[in-house]
Amino acid sequence: MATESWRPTTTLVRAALASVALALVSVVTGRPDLLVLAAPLLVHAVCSVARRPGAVPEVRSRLAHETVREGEGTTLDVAVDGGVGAEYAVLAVTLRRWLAARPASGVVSGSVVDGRADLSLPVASLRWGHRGMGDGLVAVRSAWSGYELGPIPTTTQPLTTLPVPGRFDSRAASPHPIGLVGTHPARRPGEGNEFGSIRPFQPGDRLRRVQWRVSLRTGALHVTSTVAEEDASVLLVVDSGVEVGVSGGVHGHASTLDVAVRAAGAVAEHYLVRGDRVGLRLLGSTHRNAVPAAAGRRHLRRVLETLAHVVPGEHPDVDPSRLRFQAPAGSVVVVFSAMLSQTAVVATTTLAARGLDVVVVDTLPADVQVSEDDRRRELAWRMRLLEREELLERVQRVGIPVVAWRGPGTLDEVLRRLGRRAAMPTLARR
Amino acid sequence: MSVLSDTTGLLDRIALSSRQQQWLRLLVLASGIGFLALIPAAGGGFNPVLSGAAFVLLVISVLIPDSNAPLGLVLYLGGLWAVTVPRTLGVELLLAAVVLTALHVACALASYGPPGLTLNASFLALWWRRFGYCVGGAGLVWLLSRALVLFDLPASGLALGAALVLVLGWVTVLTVRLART
Repeated sequence: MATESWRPTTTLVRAALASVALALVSVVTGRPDLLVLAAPLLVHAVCSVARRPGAVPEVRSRLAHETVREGEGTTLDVAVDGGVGAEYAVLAVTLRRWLAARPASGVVSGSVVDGRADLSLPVASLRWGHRGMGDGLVAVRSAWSGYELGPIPTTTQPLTTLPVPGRFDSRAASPHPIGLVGTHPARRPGEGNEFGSIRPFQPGDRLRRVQWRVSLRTGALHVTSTVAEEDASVLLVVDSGVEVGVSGGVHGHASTLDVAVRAAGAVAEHYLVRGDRVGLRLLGSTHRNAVPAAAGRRHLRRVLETLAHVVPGEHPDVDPSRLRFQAPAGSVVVVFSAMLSQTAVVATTTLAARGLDVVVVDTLPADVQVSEDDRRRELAWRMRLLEREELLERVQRVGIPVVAWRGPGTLDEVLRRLGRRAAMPTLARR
Repeated sequence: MSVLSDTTGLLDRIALSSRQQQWLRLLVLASGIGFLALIPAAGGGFNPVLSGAAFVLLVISVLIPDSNAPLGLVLYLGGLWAVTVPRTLGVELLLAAVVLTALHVACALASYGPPGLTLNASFLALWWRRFGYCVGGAGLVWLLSRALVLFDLPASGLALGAALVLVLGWVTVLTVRLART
């Protein structure tokens, strides 16, 4: 890093040279009026030179929060310390895409008091992701704008923006609850709240379970049995290999990946709050592309942070045969994809072939912006849509339901259907 | 790349400038025009060529107040006053000193930071006081000059020499202080 030092400003040079020139001409030509014109500049130059600063201040910057949600704000705090003789500090921050500041120019300033100036810039992140924030320049001026220091570059701070999970709710139970305790009615009898059947009394049954009406009618003691309630395992697969559409941030149009990431966040939040286990797998990411299934609110944060690190199209040509999903038997797999690539289709059909319940959530928004008055691009997009229809048909032919993301209730119908299918008798090979 | 040759950057800077910076640039323009208007008022007459050249410098200074164009403008305006205006100590001279100070201070404030910067109100108040000190200095010299004129002192080589020594002393101080940085 280059050593910064104070140097005269154009203001001081102007005041000094103009005052000297006018004063010299005034003396030589005997024109006191020129001395009157030179006087204010002379006052300025004398005051500037007399208050020349000595120490070089130190600049430190930090973000108030390293992790925010989409649309949320934080502050970039820059401290200019040790600037004895400094009077005013100016900070100009480079605003990358999806970052907004107040003021919008990203330029703030403040007076240096006792050698210290604290500059604070409120910033907001408008889209999920992991990006640098706070790289900018600081300039400091001495009293009377005589000397200036800088611009001194400020260090970039990492800012993680978690996706704001879309609104989601599901009343449908998991088709294959496989855990110990939870909220999903299982197929085996056990202690729970869901009605199972009325059966003859057996030793060990609790007296409060006795069904008196049936017992009186039949003359034999009967009890109400319940089914066990278990937790479910949900694997979320997000296709990040392809992104279509122009993202307008949290308040604008959504791209396919925006929909996928926010929908995955919403589903993860829904199931984790209910006590289920949720895992995550990213198709098309080279690092941090898997989160093992676990439960708890802390795990939700982990899932959202992994989603925030998604880089669109980072590794679009991933080999589906080498993917390891680590989904335990009985898991429900929800694939968030616009189904525009073979990789997503192969991964989906592979998971279904393993006997897992797979649901595809179509993340292509209805108002996706692709072509901008370009006929060739429009034509290409229409051809792509035809290819997509063919891929969707391939997926549906192997019995995988495809639903468009519409927030609450998106998965209800398909999960109920999968539940009914799971309860039906199946043919087995002998 | 020169500031003037980088027209795109220059237009960007103007377009992105804050309302306050626009007002300061306007103040530079008004002060410059005010000074040019005071020259005929002080008995200097109006020279379209010299005034036109001053106006060109003024426009450049308005566009890039953080450059050395305002230095050229101040020197040119001072020279124009010396060439065209006869020796006078009227009120017009004091007004000319005030508008020249306003031009200088407005350029200084407009050059404080990048486009979009808005200076604090308290800081502007501080500069308003500084403007007062500068104008006060001009007023003091103006009053002293008028008082000396009343005495009608004869020309003195000693006084001229002392004044020259004073000016050269100031030049030496500036050279040392500015060169050290």
